[in-house]
Formats: sequence, structure tokens, C-alpha cells
Amino acid sequence: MIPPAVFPFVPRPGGLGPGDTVPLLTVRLSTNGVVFDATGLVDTGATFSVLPLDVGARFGVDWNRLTRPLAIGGAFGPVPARLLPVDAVVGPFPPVKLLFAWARSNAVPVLFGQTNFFDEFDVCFFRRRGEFHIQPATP
Amino acid sequence: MSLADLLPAIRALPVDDRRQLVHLLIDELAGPALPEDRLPEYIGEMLRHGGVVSAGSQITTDAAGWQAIQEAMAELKGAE
Repeated sequence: MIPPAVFPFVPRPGGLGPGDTVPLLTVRLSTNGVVFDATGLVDTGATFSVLPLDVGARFGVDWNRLTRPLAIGGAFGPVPARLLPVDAVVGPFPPVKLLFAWARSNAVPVLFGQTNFFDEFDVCFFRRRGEFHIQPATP
Repeated sequence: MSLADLLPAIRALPVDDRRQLVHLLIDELAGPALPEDRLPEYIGEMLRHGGVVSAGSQITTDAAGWQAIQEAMAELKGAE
């Protein structure tokens, strides 16, 4: 079994102060020959992963040409989105394909949600210790 | 049993219980359906004793969106 990588809880940008810490994760994303790092919330409450409009646009992909639409609902909805598969590298682990709902709005944050971030990675939160652990999901 | 049968009992509930009932109904209507036979037994038991389950997701989609996600995931897995 691959040992977990340890990441810190960090103060929420624009948040309430030192006690307002969240599990933010930086992931190297690539598709269409474009590579960049994106930092977002590891979010068990998100049914799927999300990219805001400007972040997804950095890949140079035409939002209108993506063929799988969906409506993002819940806390940030309703927002139209298209599904975008992206190669992703988390910490020291081998690359995986992550599926994102690329929103037609910048009002949504980068989120790593249940489908399929939590399908690919096992995550343990240790808030009191100020850290969370990630490792490739075990069968 | 109909709503008319239940109304006297509902009206007899303390205010806090009626408030909780309203939240329960809103959660049920707003959130995804949770067939009782698919719930863990302890949650079913809790519901039978007036507990509240809120299974809504902070970020979610509708049935068509979920279908699109499943199809895209099948495509991803097929490409591996």
C-alpha cells in the first residue's frame, strides 16, 4: 500500500481568521497540452468536482463544444456546466483522470468532490492536528 | 392512514416538534429521495422516533446531470 501524503489545513482565503482552516489541496491539472496547478477545497459535501469558468478556460478548450451538459445545483446553483475530464497529479502519486463540472460562472470555487476525486483517493481528515492525509484509493 | 387522521396529533405536538416536522418535510421534499429500505437501520430507527435526516449535498445536480456524469465516468473507465 502506498503511504499517504500529508497536507495541512490552511486558513480559508478571505475567511474568519486563524481558526477558520480548511483542507485546501493543490493539484496539477493538464489537458489539451496545457498544464497548471489549481488549488481547491477537498469537499465531501460536493457530489462531483467543480472548476469555475476562468480556471477551466485556461485549458483553451471551447466550453460550447463539450458535449455533456449538466446543471450545478445546491449551494452555488443553478449554474450551467459541461463535463471536462482532466489529467491530474496529486502529491507524489501517479496521474489519474478527474472529471470536473466546468461551470459557466466564476461564482463557484474549485472543488474536489465525491465523483470522482473520492473514487480515486482515500482521504482522512485530522482537523485537530491541522492535517489531512491522501493516498490512492484501495479496493 | 391519511393526513386528516394525523392532523389532530400533529396539532397537539409542542411547537418545537412541529417546527422540527416542518424541517423534516422540507428536507424530504428538497433533498434526494431516500427509500427507507436503502437506509441504514439506525437511520430508519431514528426516523421512526422523530429524528431528522438531511441528505442534501452542498453541490449537486439533477437526474439528467447525474446520468451525464455516470456516462462520462463509464467513458473514462473504458479509456483506462
